[in-house]
Amino acid sequence: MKKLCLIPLSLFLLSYVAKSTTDKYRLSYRDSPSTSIVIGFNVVNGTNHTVYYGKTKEGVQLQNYESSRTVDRQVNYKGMNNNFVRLSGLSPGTTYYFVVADNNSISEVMYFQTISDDPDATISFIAGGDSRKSSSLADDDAILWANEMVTKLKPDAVLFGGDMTDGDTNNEWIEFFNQWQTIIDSDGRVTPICATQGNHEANPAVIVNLFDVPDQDDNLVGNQAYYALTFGNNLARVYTLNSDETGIITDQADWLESDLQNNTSTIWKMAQYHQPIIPHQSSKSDRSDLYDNWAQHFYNYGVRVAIECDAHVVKETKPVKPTGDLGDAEDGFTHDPDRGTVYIGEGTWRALRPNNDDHPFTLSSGSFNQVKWLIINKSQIELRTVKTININSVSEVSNNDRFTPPAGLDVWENRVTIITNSNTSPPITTITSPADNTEFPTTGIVSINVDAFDTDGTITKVEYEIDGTLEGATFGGPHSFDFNFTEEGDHIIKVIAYDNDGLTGSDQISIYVGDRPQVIITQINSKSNDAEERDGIMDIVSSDLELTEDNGIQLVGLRFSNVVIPDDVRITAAHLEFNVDAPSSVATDLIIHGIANAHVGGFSESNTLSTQPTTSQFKEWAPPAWTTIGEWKESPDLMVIINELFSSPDWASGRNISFIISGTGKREACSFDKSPALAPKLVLEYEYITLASMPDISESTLQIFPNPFQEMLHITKNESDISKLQVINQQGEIIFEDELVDGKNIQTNTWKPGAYFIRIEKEDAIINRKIIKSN
Amino acid sequence: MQQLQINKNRELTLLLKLATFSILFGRAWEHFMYDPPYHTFFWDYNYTGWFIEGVLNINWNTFLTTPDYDNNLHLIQLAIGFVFLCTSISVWFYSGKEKGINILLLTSTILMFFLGLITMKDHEQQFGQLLEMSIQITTPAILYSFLKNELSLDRLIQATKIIVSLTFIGHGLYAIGFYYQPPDFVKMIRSTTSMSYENALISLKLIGALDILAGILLFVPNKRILKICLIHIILWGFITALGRLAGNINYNHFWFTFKQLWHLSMFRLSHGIIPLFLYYCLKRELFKTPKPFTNITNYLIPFKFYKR
Repeated sequence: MKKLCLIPLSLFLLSYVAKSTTDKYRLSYRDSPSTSIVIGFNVVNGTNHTVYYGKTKEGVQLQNYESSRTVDRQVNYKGMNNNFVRLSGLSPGTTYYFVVADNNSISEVMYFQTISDDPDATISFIAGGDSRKSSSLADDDAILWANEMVTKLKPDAVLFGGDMTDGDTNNEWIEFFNQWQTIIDSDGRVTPICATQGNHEANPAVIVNLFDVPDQDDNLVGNQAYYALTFGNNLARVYTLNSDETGIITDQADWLESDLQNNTSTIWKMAQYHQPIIPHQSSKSDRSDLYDNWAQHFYNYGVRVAIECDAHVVKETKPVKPTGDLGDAEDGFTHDPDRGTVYIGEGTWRALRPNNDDHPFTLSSGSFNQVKWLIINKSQIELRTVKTININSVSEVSNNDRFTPPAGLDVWENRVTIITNSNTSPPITTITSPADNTEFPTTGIVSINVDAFDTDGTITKVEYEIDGTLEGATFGGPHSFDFNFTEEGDHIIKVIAYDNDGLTGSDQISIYVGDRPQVIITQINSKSNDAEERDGIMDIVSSDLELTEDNGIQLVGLRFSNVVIPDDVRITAAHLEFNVDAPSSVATDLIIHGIANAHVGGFSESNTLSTQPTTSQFKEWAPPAWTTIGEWKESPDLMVIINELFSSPDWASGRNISFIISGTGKREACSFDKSPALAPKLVLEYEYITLASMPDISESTLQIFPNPFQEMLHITKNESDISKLQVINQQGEIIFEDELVDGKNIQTNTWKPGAYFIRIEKEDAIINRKIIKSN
Repeated sequence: MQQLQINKNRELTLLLKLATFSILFGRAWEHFMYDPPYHTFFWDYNYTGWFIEGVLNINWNTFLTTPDYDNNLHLIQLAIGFVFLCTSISVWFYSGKEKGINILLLTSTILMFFLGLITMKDHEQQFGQLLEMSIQITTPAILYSFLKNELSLDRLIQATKIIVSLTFIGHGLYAIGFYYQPPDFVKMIRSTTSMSYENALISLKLIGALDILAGILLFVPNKRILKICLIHIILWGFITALGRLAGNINYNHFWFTFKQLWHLSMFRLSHGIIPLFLYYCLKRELFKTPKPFTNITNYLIPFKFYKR
């Protein structure tokens, strides 16, 4: 029976709530968003309108709310009875539930969140504008798309850039606020709006009277509707400027500069205003007055984001600074990636126009319905352009994680623009080992050691990428990571250190794993080292080398001086390289000989090419057409010539390798006289004949003599263990192989003069020695 | 006989042609290069929804969010600009007999009236906007009537007085702050006179009051008063026209901003030229000093065309 009695009472209470006599709710700011808020609403009827609010959800039990406050300001405007309750003394980073009650109704329970004052807090904004609401009859889906995006991304505030209605009439404003209720989430969350005057708002009073924004009203010029709010603990100061009252542009500039000077400790500064300085719609005029009065202040005082509207297109610029001349080739702005202002916009909450006026500083432009989503912490601003047309596919962020992009979010060009805070330092990161360009002869585990530190914070993580793939991470020092390289070849090791501000520092090295051919490149290094000889006349100053016809057949000589070959290597390939001086496609047949004299001096009138001794070995070369000036062209492999030169007792490391080219046809190559950098090159490929990591045996245990030798080579060994003995020529061929116990005498009279390598392999070591057979 | 004299009066013809040319050439430039407020009409469902959805069968939201449709709107704007351009050039060859130019002049008048209406809509339905455009809207028709002898000279002068009066009352309403004292007017005064902000506001109110007063005193049947009023109106008409350029030009980017502003002064030159036309009529004693307000329909239906 008792329960039955409660039913009519409940029904009565429900009808009591349902018949709310307030509507068109809107939240805005007049003061710190961490400790204050303005709750605005339209009064339909009733008296004694009061906001009841507190940190717990109390439903319609008004007496349970912690606090209440009556109307601070009432203004009949645009066909509405606008009431504003200004709450202050709120706790930062706190959820407040509230209802609006009067003598005969209570609103639904709604809530808002004050901005955290934690220096490490993150906040988010949605920015956009130009809803241009005209009629309640119109099927303005696009407005609802953007409104619903507010409920799905749950930003801390909407930065609305003006032109809420089309004609600024009473009916249009009523309809605008009716639709604005769709930004109230199903659980009652209301996002505050920072409103800007557009050209479709007749005057600043519209914004002041409908949103109760702070104003610069000095009782002389009336409402002006420009103001600034600081979000978080000096995290972001947002300047809402008025571009549409042209008479107060310079006044705002003075105020802006003064305010910026007084807020240098604020990490981020942003500005929103209606009309773009340089629109991306051709029928819109550039605003030279804003350019002169505001843009330079933006740049000088670190306003990193400027949000513009009005043109009904989409744009994002590069970070730019004003050049001072709107008529210059850069259209008044030049790229400054470190300190420039990124201009975004331009208002497509509802209707669209073509983007037909890009500029040199434009990053991208488009024409679609969108809002900007800005996620801000002390280290960086993340900026995304979010398309709204597919709002039904977009998931909702959770209240606990409002900053991770939800599934289905359609981000324009998948671009996330990161603006980093130049006032905080990223980690200093160095790979201490291995050193850059280290070569590891075998596959296996390599230890990567990293030195990472942060001058204004702590390292939170170091990530290790091998060839672009994240392979691991360390979270506490010392930062070291072992990676097993199983594939031979070049590898890139990159480490990325993160600090407590979310900033990153990185270092990168290259290593080579495996036994790869090495290269010695020698280039003609003086004018007497390349020469032409025709009809007995030497030319050592020509800027080109004609191979070989130049008003007659000629010889071409190349002398590569002081060629140093490392010990314990063998040459595996050799070729010449020429830089094309002029195109030529005539059939050409060349013959390359070596000069059989490692001591040959520079070419001259007294040291001609035709008098040089040549190798018995030669190489024929029929080069295809040379068509592109500046290309490098390779000769065939010249090992037959190199082998003969190296087998000569005349040869030793550090001496000269020289060639003479003869033949018919014509190819034109650059000479030393043309440019030292373009002079011919000799490229020698070699490989180590031992593994550098193997331990050597002591010198005293092994004796090889004489060196150079002629007919006989003696090898003695103090240790009595059995070793394997090999003798290898410069071509890598094993010409002698036997067991070595105490010592050995080897007959060498059949060996050609030249360099050889002795390899003695024990159980636990390998020893290599280079020996020379003389004539 | 009097009509014949007028037709021979080259100065009066020249003034009307000059005014028509300046209005339509300036407006043509605006239509080709900038953004007359047609979107406020086309994007308002109350005005065009029936046509877009009912006739063209295009979903309203699709219409708004498809840039190609906006390109079509731009073509309409260019077409209107082309009519203005053709008319502005053709007036120099106009003697009242050319049928094609007659059509152009009347078409331009209708299009200017349409532009006036949407300008009013774009300014929150402020009737002062339409008043302020009275001279610009009607000058092509005045030229037509003058050279085609469609209206008696007396009626033409009376009609012109009404138009000038409405224009300056419209001026005055803004200056005195009837709607909202526009900061750009204040800026114009400050930048041209170096006055303080406070003095500029007071001056603007005084000027606005004088504008309205002059607009009313035009109908006082006293030639001396009429002359004083006209001199004030002529001066203020030219000053406000040139002030658009002088007050807003950015000397840091002179040519850049000159290109953006010159047409605004150009089509407002008529605010000085048409009163000058009246002044010439007064000087040549072409005014029949009317008995004031004896037949209000004489003033309210100035474009009732009929043969004498």
